[in-house]
Amino acid sequence: MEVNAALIYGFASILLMIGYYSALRANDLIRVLISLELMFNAIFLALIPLFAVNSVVAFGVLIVTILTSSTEFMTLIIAIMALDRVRKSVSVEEVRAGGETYEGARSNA
Amino acid sequence: MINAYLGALIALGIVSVLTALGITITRDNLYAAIYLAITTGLVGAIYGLFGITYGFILIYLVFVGATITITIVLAATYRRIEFRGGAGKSWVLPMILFIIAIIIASIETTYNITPITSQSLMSFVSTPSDLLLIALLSSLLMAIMIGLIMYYLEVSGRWR
Repeated sequence: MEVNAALIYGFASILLMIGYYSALRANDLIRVLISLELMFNAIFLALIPLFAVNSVVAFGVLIVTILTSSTEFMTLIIAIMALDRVRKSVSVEEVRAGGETYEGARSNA
Repeated sequence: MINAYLGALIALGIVSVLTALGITITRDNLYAAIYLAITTGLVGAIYGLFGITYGFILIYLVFVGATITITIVLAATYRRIEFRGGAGKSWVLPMILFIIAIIIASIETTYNITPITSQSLMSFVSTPSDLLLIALLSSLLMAIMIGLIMYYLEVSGRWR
């Protein structure tokens, strides 16, 4: 009934690399968000061997990871919706530094 | 000889990797979000396989139930956007090398994971300070959500 941790680390690294590749090839922000969530799946999987060392500490780390990642994804979802409101697009090309267009739109309104 | 426990773990891992590949391959954002939900569910199932019941419930309730559901709705809203390649396919080679390096580096570990009982985790949720940690994190999450909703209403012009 024992499993070597290398198996779980292997699956976690495969999921992480698929998430990286999907984020690199993404053209819109929705796909980037989905890729980020896939990367967090790899993090959750890599946390399982920590339960073999100290299960109480691992459970605390898991709670902090899940709650912070959920907050992060909600922030990204609202940011994507706000970007769609301002720029009328969710393309990666629309994400640039500066907020001149948004400030201009507010002053004209 | 592979026992049933190891076989179930390998099967769950392979299917989760296949559904993760589906996220990369499909051109529709909605199907990618649904593949993501399946992958996350399978990762939660691996937690259940190891007997980590609280992790299983947290992943299903908070991650699959709340975050990925909203992602599916968002992907359904913007599903007509076509997915085109950004980076070249040559990035696959260093990624495969990274995966091989991780497996080789971790294969000599002495961590043999056995299924744990839920009684060992009961001490966490029965401690007042740990319950306070969970309550503080949940209230922080709710405060950030309220702030984000106010920001969105301000950007969309409905907040005066």
